[in-house]
Amino acid sequence: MKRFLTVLGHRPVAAVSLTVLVVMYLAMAFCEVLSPYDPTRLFPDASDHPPNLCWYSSQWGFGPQVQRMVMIDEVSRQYVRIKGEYDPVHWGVTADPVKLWGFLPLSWHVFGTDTHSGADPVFLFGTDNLGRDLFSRILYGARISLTIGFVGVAVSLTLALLLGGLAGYYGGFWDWLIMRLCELLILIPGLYLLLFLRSILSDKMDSASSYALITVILSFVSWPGMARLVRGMVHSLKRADFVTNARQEKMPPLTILFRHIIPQMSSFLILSVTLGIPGFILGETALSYLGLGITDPAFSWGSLISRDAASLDNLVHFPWLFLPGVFLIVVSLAYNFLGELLRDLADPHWRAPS
Amino acid sequence: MKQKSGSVACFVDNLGAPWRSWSAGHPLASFLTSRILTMVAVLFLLGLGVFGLMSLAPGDIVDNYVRAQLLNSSSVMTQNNVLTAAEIAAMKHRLWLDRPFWEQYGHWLWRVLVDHDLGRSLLSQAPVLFLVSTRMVNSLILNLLSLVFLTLTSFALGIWLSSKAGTKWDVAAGFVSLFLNAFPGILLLLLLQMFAASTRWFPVTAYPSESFGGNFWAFSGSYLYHLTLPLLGAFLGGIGGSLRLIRATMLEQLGQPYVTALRSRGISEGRIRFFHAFRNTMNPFITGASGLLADLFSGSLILEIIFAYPGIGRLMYEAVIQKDINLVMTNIMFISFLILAGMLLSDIALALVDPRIRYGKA
Repeated sequence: MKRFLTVLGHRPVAAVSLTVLVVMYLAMAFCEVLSPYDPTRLFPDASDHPPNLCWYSSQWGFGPQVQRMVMIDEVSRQYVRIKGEYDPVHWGVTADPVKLWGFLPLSWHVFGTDTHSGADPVFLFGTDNLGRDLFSRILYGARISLTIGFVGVAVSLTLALLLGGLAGYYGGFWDWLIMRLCELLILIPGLYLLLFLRSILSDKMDSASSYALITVILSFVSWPGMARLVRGMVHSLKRADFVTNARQEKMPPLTILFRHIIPQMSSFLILSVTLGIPGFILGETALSYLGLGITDPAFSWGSLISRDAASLDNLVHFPWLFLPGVFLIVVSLAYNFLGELLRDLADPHWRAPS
Repeated sequence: MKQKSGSVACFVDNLGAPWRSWSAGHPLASFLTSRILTMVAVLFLLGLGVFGLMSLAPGDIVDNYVRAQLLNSSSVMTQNNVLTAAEIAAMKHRLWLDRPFWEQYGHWLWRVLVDHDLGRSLLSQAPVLFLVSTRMVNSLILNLLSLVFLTLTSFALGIWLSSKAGTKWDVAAGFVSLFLNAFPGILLLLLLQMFAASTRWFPVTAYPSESFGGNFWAFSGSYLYHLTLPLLGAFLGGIGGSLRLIRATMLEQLGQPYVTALRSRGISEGRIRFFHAFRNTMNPFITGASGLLADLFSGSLILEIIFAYPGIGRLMYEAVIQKDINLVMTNIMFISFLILAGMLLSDIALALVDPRIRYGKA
């Protein structure tokens, strides 16, 4: 751990990535209070409203404030700024009542405008075509996008450790069978398999079960690759002296496998978790983009993209609707940069800068 | 003789002495035979799996199938489109849908292998073979173009970068390839399309609107022009990974004792790089390239949908959405066959380029 922190000091990109990820996960955890509005709240006269936060005006000086805008064209939804009209953004306002983590009733939000006295609402990232605040939606959508990676990797790593470990440890027929099964699954292009499974297994289902289904399908597609790696490592470790010793002490094979061999691969496991998570996040995005992801009323970054940013018209005229995609890019890059650092740390030939 | 995948070999070896004596005499032929047998077995199991999964799913696929069939064939349509349960049952019976899935699969296999009939698409009523073969050509052009493009560029860049190890260039290239490797493919394609739409320098669709029948050169030119952005997307999506792989292998090879031995004999650095280290770099790349082909097919699914390219991926997507079982089945089989064939080819290519692998007497 200490080594990790020292190395982190020499790798600014990885340090920034770690910070970004921590901030995003914290924001996701506290999205109820951090988002200024309820993600389903409609602002009927603010459809496709551009972002309206600015930092300076002669009226309020420097500081976060909202530039008032008015729609001049109902059809193409063009807005113009009203010169000289600004509303200040306050820290800690009372607005839409929410339940933090589903049970703690609160109506306190970290920031917002004084909408009761007629100020314009603050749209940090603009709104979608129904006038819903995109910033709040991105924060709430993170709950699905950012957790699906963890849950999925947990499921697929468990499968990989169990099957790959058993195949590597026992060898013989089971090894042959499990490895052939893995090869069969690896063979089919992943996305086709995903598409196929998702479309036959579901038609009408609620958000929670679609979340579970997507996670299971993504894990199903991704475990064979990991299982092959685990099998190879177990296979090479099982003739080591410490395993022979444990076996001579008549330890049960499963104890040897899970308490002695697999802990030896911890750096590999950490690495594959870090590098596996973005794969799951992007898998969910791809499915959502194809309309087979999270079902309504829940939404993820992927379904925000497929709903708002899939049409060229929207992308060209309302570019802020692509922002969920920017978040996806940032998260994916951050995980990969962090994974690169972990890969170097796990490499015995690599020497840390001192 | 080095067996690359002893998968079936151990299985087949038990078949008996005649096989063993034959395979000792014809190593390459026996290797190919065992690989082709594996391929057939894999395809067979895959089809069984697809039919099994289809039967696990709630009955709506069967009903959709029957409904589409009934609505499209006017001969069985009764007045007001009302169908009796008996008629549906009869139809299910005629299409083998009331049987267990292995019988359905057997029926499908019989129809395909003996009658050479892949069936018709449920939605368009077009023969599946026609649909798949026209789309397959398009997809193959796209994927092979990007594969060739990718291979050439990443080899050139990888070898050049390995000579620059430790310099600014190397650090920059490492960062860029990591960046590209981590960049989500869907969003890259969306950004490219956004670029095309806002600058209007490139078309937003990937297939020319004029017909092929006219001027061949005009068509090809327009085709390439339309294909520029999708190819760029596929290229950028794949270059990161392959560049990293080649650079790492190249550096590993250049640290080997045989390179030191070559250097001590005064052989020029360029010669060592191209004729010795490079040849050994091919191995992991070709092994990876068959996986790359599978990736390209996966990636081209999204690419074809975003850029409206009439390829196999979009056909598959539409077939899956509409639950067109004939089409889905043929599609999956074709794509898996292509990838299996790619793996086989890559094994043969390995034997050709890697001096350490020979399917003969060592």
